[in-house]
Amino acid sequence: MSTYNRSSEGDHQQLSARQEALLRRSLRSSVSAMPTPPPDLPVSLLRAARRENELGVVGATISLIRAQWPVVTRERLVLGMVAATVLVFCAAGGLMSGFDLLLLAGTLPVAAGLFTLLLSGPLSDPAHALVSATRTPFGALVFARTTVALTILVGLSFAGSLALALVGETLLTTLVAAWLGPTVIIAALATVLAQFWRPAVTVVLALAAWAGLVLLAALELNGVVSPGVSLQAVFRPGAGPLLAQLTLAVALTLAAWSLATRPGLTGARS
Amino acid sequence: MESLLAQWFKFGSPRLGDRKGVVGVAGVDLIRAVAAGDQDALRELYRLHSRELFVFILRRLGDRQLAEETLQDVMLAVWRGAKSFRADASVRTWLYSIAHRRVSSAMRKLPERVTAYEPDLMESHADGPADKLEISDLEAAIVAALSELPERQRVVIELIYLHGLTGPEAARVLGVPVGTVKSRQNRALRALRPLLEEFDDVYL
Repeated sequence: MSTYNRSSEGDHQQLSARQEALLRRSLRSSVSAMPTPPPDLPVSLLRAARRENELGVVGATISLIRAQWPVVTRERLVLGMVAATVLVFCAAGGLMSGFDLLLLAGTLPVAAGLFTLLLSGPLSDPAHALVSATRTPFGALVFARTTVALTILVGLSFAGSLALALVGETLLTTLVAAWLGPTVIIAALATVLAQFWRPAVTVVLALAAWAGLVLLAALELNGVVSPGVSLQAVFRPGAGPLLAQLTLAVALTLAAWSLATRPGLTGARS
Repeated sequence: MESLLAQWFKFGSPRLGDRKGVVGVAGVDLIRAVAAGDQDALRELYRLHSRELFVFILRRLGDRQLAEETLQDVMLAVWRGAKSFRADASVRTWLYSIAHRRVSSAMRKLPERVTAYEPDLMESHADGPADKLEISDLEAAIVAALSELPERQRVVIELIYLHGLTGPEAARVLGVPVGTVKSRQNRALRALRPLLEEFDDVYL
């Protein structure tokens, strides 16, 4: 008797040999009338497998990201992202020092999270149809699309920061430091979590945590609350905290990439 | 029933639940060959295991086309992940683990909950003798009772009694503790026991 059965003595529902045989035979009988799978693997699959082999994992990832670029940029969503980013920077330009950084740090990571969500689910219908039809693991698609969206968002935000730095008093490095770390961290975190749960859940979780932090920082800035550790450092980081943020972002991105390319792991579909 | 069993043995792949056959060294060698980029090894692996994996997938998804696509997904995942295969689990357990994850993912795409794929047993048995038909009746009743079980319990029963996995192997496939498999098996058998006892005297 196996350890499994031995350890279950007392509470295990034991079947007699005849009952077990009957159960097995019943199941096999039901299966014998089932259709059979195709006799061989489709040529398309073998071709795709060969191509992946030639490219290697890194090559396949780059290839996937390149393939997702037109898919993402075709979406109207990207226009919304551009418009929202421009608006955020216009608004930040009209705010007092401190609040502008808070606005950038509060909204751009949220935008990154939302784009991760919208590019991964049925809210963006054409893309979702593609996700449903493709054989590529879902996690890999989320990773590739988030990379594309983030590239666009970071590019736009950098241009916006440059414009603000030219017309305002805040240094470019301070402006970029306010949003770059949190934006990449939130997007990478949402992508990592999307390998396990539905993107809607993961993005809401990541954004809820971030929103809480931003709210506390805003209250602190207004003097409503005074937390033990000042949260302003998060939004106005020095070289050390910024390096730590970027290190965390890189680690999360690598984790997302590793999970997305992990065999057998498909992630959750929204 | 004999004709059905004979038909069953005609499959190119090993009979479901058969612990011997390709399981073991040959399977591990195949995986190593797949990891080395040998497509013939992948095709051989498919030839050997596609039937049992397809049954596992189709019974859970209930849709033939989706099951075929999911089976292809499994083979692609095998291709991609062969290098990460560790011989601490059998090849079959590994394949079923991948299939389980793919099925779980595919199930989320389905518009509504599906029940186990159930072919028309009466039709498939209709050409047999009368006493065989009686046996097929009770088998159909057992399978019908099984399909009424919650999906989690049904999968455990099928992995153990149809696919021939052990409890710990089923736990590994499903990614749950052995105790969880045990309790699901217990609950399922408790539900099936009256039916099995009722027909115990009829059978054999």
